[in-house]
Amino acid sequence: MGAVVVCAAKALFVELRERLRSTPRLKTRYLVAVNRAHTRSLRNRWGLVGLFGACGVVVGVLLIRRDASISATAWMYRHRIFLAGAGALLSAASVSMRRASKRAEAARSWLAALPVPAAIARWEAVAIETGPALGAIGIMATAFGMVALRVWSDRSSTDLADSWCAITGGIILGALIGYAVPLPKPEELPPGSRYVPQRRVREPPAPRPSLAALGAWPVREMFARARPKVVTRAIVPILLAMPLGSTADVAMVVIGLSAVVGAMVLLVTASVSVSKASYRWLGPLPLSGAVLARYLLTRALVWITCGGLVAAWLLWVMGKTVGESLEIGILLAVLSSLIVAGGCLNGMYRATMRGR
Amino acid sequence: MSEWDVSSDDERAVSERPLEIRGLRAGYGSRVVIDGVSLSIEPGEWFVLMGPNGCGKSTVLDCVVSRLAPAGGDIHVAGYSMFTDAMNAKSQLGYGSAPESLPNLLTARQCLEVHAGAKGLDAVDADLLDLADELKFLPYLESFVDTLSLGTRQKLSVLLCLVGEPKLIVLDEAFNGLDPASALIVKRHLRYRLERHGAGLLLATHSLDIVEHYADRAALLMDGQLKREWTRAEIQGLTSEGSGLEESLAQAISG
Repeated sequence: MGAVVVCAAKALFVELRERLRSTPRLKTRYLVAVNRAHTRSLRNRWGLVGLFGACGVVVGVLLIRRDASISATAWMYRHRIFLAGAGALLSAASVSMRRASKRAEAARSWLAALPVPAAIARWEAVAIETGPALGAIGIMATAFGMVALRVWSDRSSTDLADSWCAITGGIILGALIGYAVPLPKPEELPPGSRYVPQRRVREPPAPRPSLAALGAWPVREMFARARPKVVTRAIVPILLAMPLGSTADVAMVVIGLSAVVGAMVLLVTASVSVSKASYRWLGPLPLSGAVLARYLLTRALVWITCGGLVAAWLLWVMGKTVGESLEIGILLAVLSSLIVAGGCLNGMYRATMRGR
Repeated sequence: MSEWDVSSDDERAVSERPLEIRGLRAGYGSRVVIDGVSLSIEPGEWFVLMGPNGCGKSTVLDCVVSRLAPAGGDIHVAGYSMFTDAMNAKSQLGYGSAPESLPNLLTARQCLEVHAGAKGLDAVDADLLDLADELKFLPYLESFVDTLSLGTRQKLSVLLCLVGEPKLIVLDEAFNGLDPASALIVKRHLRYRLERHGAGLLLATHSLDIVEHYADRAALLMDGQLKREWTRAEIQGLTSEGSGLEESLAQAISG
């Protein structure tokens, strides 16, 4: 039986590979994935090992502890309509956005002039656009199948099948909706500096030597990353998650807290990437790493400290004690500062080790 | 006495030269790209490094400006070792980085200020501002780098390279994206800098026009080694011959 399955899988793989020959876009994606797998750095490999390890632990718990599998199945069955709706929403959004972006990309692609028959090009496009939805269905089928092995011949198995049907149906329906809605306009992102506040000077003086401008760089990067669309997309789920009956005061404080934490996350990631870029740009200048880090990060660290204090104040407004609020605020600021410092050191180390 | 031990006369010559490279070896991981390159640039000399794609021109430049740690050899900039006295060596160096590595969210003025600040200057040199004016760059001083066109970024890159009257100017394909008028202004200004300040220029390019009209010396880098060198007189001889520089270079590359 095992040998038959292996043979069938091999035959399917060979058949798919043959079919890929006539589909340049899919073939390119396949080859890129293969190349990535070959050249993946050790760091990425450890990341993958961690990810698969975590999934393995979850699956192991579900398989070993039958009661955990049963309660998870019962929870999904109770919430199957909600899960199906969420699956449909995500799938519709993903398919619709991928349709817009991939079609714009295909028109400019290096493969655009190849003589591919229209029918093949069409199903190739469908496969690429629905890729994430199909992937989700595949992952769900595997996960549900494994749980099903544990709760087989039980009432839970019918609940599990119902839940799987509902969620998969939701995803498929969402993908169809993604094709039914009109094609959204492809996003042409403006330069990040559009969102950076800048003081206008009528008659600027001649340039004066100074490293002070470096301090503004991470903060500007934060503003550039917090595009209005990103902010809107972040706020809507927060508002939807507010329990019914919440007062406007509470909503304001929650939004404020989310904004502070979001800004801190953006500032931390911006500081880390800016550190890396600055070592690349300023490497040939007579500037020590310590001086560069001081000018680059001082302002960002002051902003992070202020962010921690504002978060503490908002928590106090929400009803936490002064001690608890300060503890969380300080923890947030210290953790962010440590990540920034670590990212900066890592950037410096990588810049100096290039070629070694 | 080892290969790299130098006598006091040689030491003096080294200190006067904008650039002295001896036995440079470099690569990426286990891949060796440069294997035993030695070259020197005299004050006021325009040195062009040529070679086929992927031969290691940019790798040599990266080693000179300390963006890449070499596996062996020695680099002196204006007499300072890039390995034992990097700060002094870098103070004498001007490098025109690729336009895409400029910081998008700083303004052009701030880029100039940061470069001048890092070199410990009291003011940005007037020569440089004159060049910026000639290149019609001054209206862009308050613009963010990410709003500048490729050519304008290239101008900024050249301007940054010249901050602080460097003894060694290192440029990698610096005329890409520049309009002909701006390219001519930059070339003339570079020639003026070499003659006035006695700086040396190391330029990696494929442009034979530059070799023909501006280079004092040119070298061909192939398979990680300098295969051939041409002096000014040889270049002029080749350009006056029927076969020309292009033909000669093609012959040298094909071996």
